[in-house]
Amino acid sequence: MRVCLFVAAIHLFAVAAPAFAQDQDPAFQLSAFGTLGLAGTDTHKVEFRRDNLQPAGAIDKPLGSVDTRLGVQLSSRLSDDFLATLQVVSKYRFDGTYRPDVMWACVTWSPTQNFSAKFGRLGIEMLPNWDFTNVGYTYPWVRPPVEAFFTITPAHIDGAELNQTLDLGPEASVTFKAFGGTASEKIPGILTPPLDLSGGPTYGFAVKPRWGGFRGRLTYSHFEIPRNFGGPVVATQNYLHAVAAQLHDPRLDAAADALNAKGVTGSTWSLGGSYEEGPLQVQGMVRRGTYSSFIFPDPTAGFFSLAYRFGRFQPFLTWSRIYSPRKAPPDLGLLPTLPGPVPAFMVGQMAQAANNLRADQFTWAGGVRWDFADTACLKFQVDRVHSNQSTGLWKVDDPTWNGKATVMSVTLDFILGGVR
Amino acid sequence: MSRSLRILAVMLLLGLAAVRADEPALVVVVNPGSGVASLSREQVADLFLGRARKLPSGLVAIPVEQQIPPEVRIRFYQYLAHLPMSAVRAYWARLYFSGQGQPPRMTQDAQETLGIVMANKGAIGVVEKDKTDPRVKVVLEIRGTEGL
Repeated sequence: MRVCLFVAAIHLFAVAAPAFAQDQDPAFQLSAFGTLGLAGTDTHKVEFRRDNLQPAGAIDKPLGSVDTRLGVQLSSRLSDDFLATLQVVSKYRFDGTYRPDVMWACVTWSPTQNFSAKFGRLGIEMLPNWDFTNVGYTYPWVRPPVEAFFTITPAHIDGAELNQTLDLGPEASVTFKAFGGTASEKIPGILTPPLDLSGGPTYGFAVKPRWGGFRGRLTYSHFEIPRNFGGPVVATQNYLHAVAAQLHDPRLDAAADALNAKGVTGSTWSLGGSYEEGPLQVQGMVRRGTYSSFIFPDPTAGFFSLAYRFGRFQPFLTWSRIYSPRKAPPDLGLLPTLPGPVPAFMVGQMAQAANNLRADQFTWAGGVRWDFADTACLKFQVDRVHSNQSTGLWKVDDPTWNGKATVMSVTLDFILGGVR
Repeated sequence: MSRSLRILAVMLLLGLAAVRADEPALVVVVNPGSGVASLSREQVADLFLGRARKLPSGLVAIPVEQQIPPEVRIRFYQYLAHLPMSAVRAYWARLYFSGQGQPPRMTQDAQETLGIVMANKGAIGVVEKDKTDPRVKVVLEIRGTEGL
C-alpha cells in the first residue's frame, strides 16, 4: 500500500511539475518543495527518529512520517531592496499530527551589495545548513546525519538576522551573520508533556568564509527554555520538597529545583566546511553543546560526508558520531537512606533523568541520489547504527535492544517553481 | 601499445578536439546603457549565483538565462563555477527556500533574452555568440572549448 502511494506520488509530481514550470512573475512567485519518504529498520525494539521534534519513529515496518514533508512558499520582490518570503511546512510534529507550521514569514532588506537584514519569523543557522534542512532536494542524503543534527534547539525564531559580507578578492569573501529573537515551537517530551520553547530568548552568530568551491562555517547559538516541564516532573518536585521539609534537608529542595526547565540555557558551537567543485562534494562539521542543567546532556557530535556525481547519479558515504558524557544527578541528601519503595523509586527517577537524553552512537551511511528529472530526485540510503546509549535519539520500546540497527530509507525529493 | 591502437587513440583525441572546437561560443551581454565595458568570469559568477546584486556601475542587476537550448546553461555554469546543473539547482534551492534570494529570470530562448537585455539597463544575459544582436553589448566571451 505504502509503495503504491509512493509510485502515485511520483506520477503526481510528473503531472504537477509543468504547471509550476511556467515562467512566473518574479514579483510574486509560488513554489513548493517536498519529500515523500519511507524508512524502516530491522528491529521493533526501538523507534528511529529523524529529530527531537518527532514523538514516534520507524520500526521494522516502513514508515512514511520520518522523512515526509511538504512546504509551500510565496515569494514577492517588493522592490529592488525588499524580498518577502512566506513558507509553510507540513511535517510530522510533536503532537503526532501534520498540522502546517509557518517556518518563514520574513522580509529581507538588502540596501547595499554586501549587507542584508531579515525581519520576522526566520529559520536560523543554529548549525551549518540548519536553515534549509527541510528541503531534501538541496543535499545528497535522505536526511542530514542524525547524530550531528539531532539537537534540543529551536529551528526558527521570531526576530531579526543581519548579514555583512566582506570581499577578500576574486572568489573569496567572508560573511558575518548575527541573529536574535524568541523561539516559537514545541518539542515532545519523553516522559513529560511537550516542552513549549515559545518565547525563549535565542541568539547567535556565524562566520562564513568562502574561497572558490570551499565554504566554511563557524556558528554559535544560545537559547533559554522559558517554561518548566509538566506532568510527572511536577509530582517528583512536589515529593522532593515535601521530604525536604519533613527532614529539614535543603539538598532535596535544591534537587527539586534542579528539575526546573525554566531558565535552563543551552549553547552550541559548531565548525563546519564544505567543498564542492565539479562532481565532487565533501562536507563535515563538529559541534559541542553545553546545557546548564543535569537533565540535558552536553553532546560533542559531528559528521563527514563524501559524494560524487556520475551524470545524474550521486553516490555518497557518510560517517557521523555523537557522544555525551554522563552527568551526575543532584545530591539527594537523606532520601536514599529512607526505607520503602517510594524513596527508592524517586532515586531511580533522578538517575534516569540524568541520562534520558544521553547519546553515544555512530553511524555509517551510504546511498545514492538519482536526479531522474531536473527538479526531482530519488534517494536510497542504508544506515548502519552502532549505539551504546542513545535514548535521546531513539525512542526505546524494549531495553534489551543490543544497540545495533540497520535503517533503510527511500525518498522522492522535489522542488516546484522558483528554481528551474 | 600496438601501432593500430596508437593510431586509434590519436584519431579519438583528434575527434574529441574537433567536437569541442565545434561548440558555439557563448557571450555575456548587457544593455549598452548599463555603463559596463567588460566583466570577469568571477564577476559574472557572482551575479548569476546571487552573490552580487549590482553591476559594477551600480545598477541593480537583472540576470537572465535561457532554457533552450539546454546546452547553453550547462556550459555556462560549468564555465562559471565548474558545477553541473543539478548542483546549481540545489545551490539555488538552498538560497531560495531560506529567503536569501531569487534565481535568475528564465527565458525561453536567445531572442527573449536579448529582448529583456535591450529593454532593461540592468539586465545581463548569456546567448550563443552567433545569435547576439548589435543592440546589446558583449562584456565576456566564452569560447567553444571553455565550459566543457
